[in-house]
Formats: sequence, C-alpha cells, structure tokens
Amino acid sequence: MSWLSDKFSSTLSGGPSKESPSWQWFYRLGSPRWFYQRSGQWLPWLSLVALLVLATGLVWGLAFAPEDAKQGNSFRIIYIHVPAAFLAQSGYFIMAIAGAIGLIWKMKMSYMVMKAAAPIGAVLTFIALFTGAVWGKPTWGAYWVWDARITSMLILLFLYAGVMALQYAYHSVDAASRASAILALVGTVNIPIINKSVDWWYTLHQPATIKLTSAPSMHMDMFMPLLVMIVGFYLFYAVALILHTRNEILRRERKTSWVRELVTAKAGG
Amino acid sequence: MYFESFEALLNMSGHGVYVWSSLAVTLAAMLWLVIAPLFKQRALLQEVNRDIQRQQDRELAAKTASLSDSHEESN
Amino acid sequence: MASQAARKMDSGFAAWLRRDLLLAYRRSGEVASPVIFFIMVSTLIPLGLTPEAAQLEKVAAGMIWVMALLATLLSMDGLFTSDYQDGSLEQMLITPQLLPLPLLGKITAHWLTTGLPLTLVSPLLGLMLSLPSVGYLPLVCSLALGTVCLSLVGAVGAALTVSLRKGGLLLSLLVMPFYMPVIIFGTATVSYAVDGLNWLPPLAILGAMFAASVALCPLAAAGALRVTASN
Repeated sequence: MSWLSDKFSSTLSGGPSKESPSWQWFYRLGSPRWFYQRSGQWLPWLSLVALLVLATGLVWGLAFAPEDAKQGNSFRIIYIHVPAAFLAQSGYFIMAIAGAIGLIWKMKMSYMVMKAAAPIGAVLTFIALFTGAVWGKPTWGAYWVWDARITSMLILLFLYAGVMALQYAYHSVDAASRASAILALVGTVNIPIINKSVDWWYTLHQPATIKLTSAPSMHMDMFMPLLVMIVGFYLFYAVALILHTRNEILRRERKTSWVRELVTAKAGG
Repeated sequence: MYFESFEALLNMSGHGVYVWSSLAVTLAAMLWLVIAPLFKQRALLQEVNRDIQRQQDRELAAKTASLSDSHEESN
Repeated sequence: MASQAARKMDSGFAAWLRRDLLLAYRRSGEVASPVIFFIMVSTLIPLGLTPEAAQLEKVAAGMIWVMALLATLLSMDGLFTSDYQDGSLEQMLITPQLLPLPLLGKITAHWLTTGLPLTLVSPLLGLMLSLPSVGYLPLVCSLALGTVCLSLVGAVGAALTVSLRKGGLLLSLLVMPFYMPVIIFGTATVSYAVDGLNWLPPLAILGAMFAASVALCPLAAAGALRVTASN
C-alpha cells in the first residue's frame, strides 16, 4: 500500500508540472523566484542586443537613409515616432493580456508584469506624442494639430493614466491588481472603437493633408531602418519590462526566505 | 553616409533642431526607464538587508537577555 | 419551467429598478441637481464665449453634448456608493440571480433619473444657444441613445471605484476616454442635420454602441464589483 500513497502524495505535491512536461515552462513562469533568477541571467545579453540594434537603426535612419521628397529631413523623426507609437499600442495589449492571465489563472506573476507594463507604456506614449508634436512644426507649421493619430495617442495616454491611477488608489495589492486588470481589459475592447471613431471624426473635419508616416509608398532604403528600429524598440521594451517586473517581485516578496537568502548571499559574497 | 559632412548631418538642411531635439528627449526618457528601476532595485535590496539586520539584532538581544536571566537565577 | 426561470431573472432586474426609482423619488432634490447643473453651465457659455447667435449656433451641439457628459459624470459617483455604505450592495452580490441583471436594473434607473431628464431639457438649451431648428430632433435622439451608453460605461467605472473614499475624481479619469467615441458620434448626428445631410448613419453607430454596451458593460461592472466591494 505504501507505494500507492507515495505515488499519490508525489502527484499532489508535484502538481501538474510533473504530470505534463510540456506545461512546465508555464508553471515555472508563474514562480517569481524562477523568473527573478532567470531574468537576471538573460538581462545583460538582452540589453546588449537591444543597444546594438537601436544604435544600428538610429545611425542608419538618421545618417544614411535618403531624405523624403516632400518633408525633407524632418521625416527622419519617423525612426523614433513610429516605433514608440507602435510599442505604446502593443504595450497596452501586453498589459491587458497579462491582466487577463492574472484574472483567469490567478497568477501573481502576471499581475506584477501588468503593473510594470503601465508606466513603460505611458512613457512610450509620451515619447510618441512629443516627437509627433515636434514633427508637426516643420510639416504643418504648428506643434499641435488635432490629427487623428496624435489624438488617438493622447487618448491612449489617458487610458494608461487611468490604469496607473487605479493601481495606486488601492492599498490592497490583490484588489489593485484585479481592478486594474478589469480596467485594462475594458480598455482593450475600446481601443479599436476609439481609434476608428477618431479616424472618422478627423476625416469629417479636415480633408486629408500631408499624413505623417505614409507607409505604403515608402522606399526600401527608408523602410529597412524603420524595421530595425521597431525591432530595437521591442527589445528595449523587453529589457525595461523585465527590470520593472524584477522590482515589483522584490517589493511583493521581500518577506520571503528566498529574497532574504539572495540578499545575505550577496552581502556575504 | 547620405550627408556630405558632419555639419550637414547636424543641420539637416534646417530641420536638425526638430530631429535632434526629439532624439534627445526620446533617449532621455528611455534611459530613465532603465536607470530608475536599477536605483529602485538597490534601494529595495538595502531595505531587505536592513530588515534582516534588525531581526538578527533582535534575536541576539533576546538570546543575551535570556542568558543573563538564567545567570541571575542561578545566583 | 422556462417561465419560472424568466420570472426569476426578471425579478432581479425589476426589483432593483423599482427600488432605485423609489429611492430617487424620495430624494428628488439630488436627482434634480444634474439637470440644474446642465442648465446653469449652459448660461456660462454665452458669458464666456460670445452672446452672438451666429457664433453660438456653431458650437451649440458640441457644448450641449459636453455638458450632458459632465452632468452624467457628476451623477455617476453616487450609483453604488450609498448601497455600498448601507450594505445592500453585499446583499446584491450574494443573491441567487445573475449579478448583471440587477445591475442593469440599477443602471436603467440611473438613466431614467439623469439621462432622460437631460435629454428632455436639451431642446430648451438648444433654444438658448440658438441651435438651428433642424437640429432639435437629432439632438434629442442622439442624447437619448448616447446618455444610455454614458450611464452603462460609467457604471463600470463606478464599480471599479466604489470602495475608495475619494472615488469620484478617479472615476471621471477612468471613464472619460471611453466617452470620447460617444461624444464624437453624438455631435456628428446634430451637425449632419444642421448641414442638411442625412443624420441617420451617425445615429445608427450610436445605436450600435448602445447595443454593445448593454451587452458588455453590466458584465464588466459585475466583475468589477466582485473585486472591489468585497474589500
């Protein structure tokens, strides 16, 4: 009989990770300790690659790509504006997906990712807005024009601000995570509606003038550096997200023994 | 390089101010996104370290107190 | 069997609708304040902008819509607060009915006591702001549909902030971005009519938004209440 009980208890304590190795990574990812240790190993390499890709894209785009026939050299802001805008939008979806995973599987780790993603996305949205405004000056003659793209970005900044404000409003970590996850999900449903409405509103009030980022007619020599920059921004986003998530782990797990062991090992060694 | 000289690259036929200022603000914001968490992490680790020290001190104090108590009792 | 289930579902909706309407009737002073706010702010516009009819008529539709939005936002805070404080919200959370239906009842009561009065006084404000007479019917139609959306979306925000002591301002921050599509199509309906175009297409989009928010917002609000009201 003992072998039976042994087997039974091992199944219980081992959980599904022993049962199905294909899901192992998922359960491991749910462990803050595992994530903290592994991400510490990846981080230097990831940062190095991100730095190299960003530097390549910037030098290529700013110094080597040909200038735009209509907009001249001011068009080079595209190499910052578009990747930032791209990541600002994807960042919201990444945040919402992390929140959804947290709500569905009750995974602490993904709530931490969600919380970490909010300020990064907000800063990227700010970058997109700022560069868009600066780009507007030589193109339209004014820093702020109620252009459809820029207005959508502004609303996205408000959405990020809402998630962050809700996150900080609750003292209870659990309530803060779940409430802002719901808000992020509601936002995800609404972002396409908001963007479509703003596009429609813009065509209603203004005939199409020079559009920033007229992608389809872009020459390959201009497009390649942009692609490199988008990849670079994605890598940068990953680095920033890991850094912020690691802090969130430390903040929430500071009473646990593994964090204490980590600190004493560092102090001793 | 697309430009003939370094000055031409800086000037960008008059649009240099716009391009370089947006690059500067972007890089500053991105650096802040990376450097701020590093400082924060150091502060958090120090905080944990302080907690551990405080706990060890308390345990040590409790041990010496109990030792001196037993010493007094035996007298 | 089916009728019994239907009656049970109905009782969740109708009971809360009746209860909230009764409460609103007893506290009619509070109910009147969004409407009074709506009218008072509209007197600020000629004072702050210009009393000239030619210029007022250009901004009238947009202004009326912005003020309706603010008035709704102002009243949104109270949707769950008193129920949360006296414990009846917790009662609602443990009732056997599906939570979205009682919530839909509450939201309907909220619309009947804020959105509907705002819609009904809007022609008066149109008159005061010299809106062209072709714009009255589109204004009323768009406000009738749009304020339902505002109440529904606002309920999600109210549910997310119910247990916070100073939730009112946060609530406005949370839901304002979601109100923007509604205001875009609401004002477009009126301006289409004033420009002599067919104003039914933007109104139809408002109708689509109404349908989508009736389906989704009570669910989201129910999820939010389960998180926030138990803390």
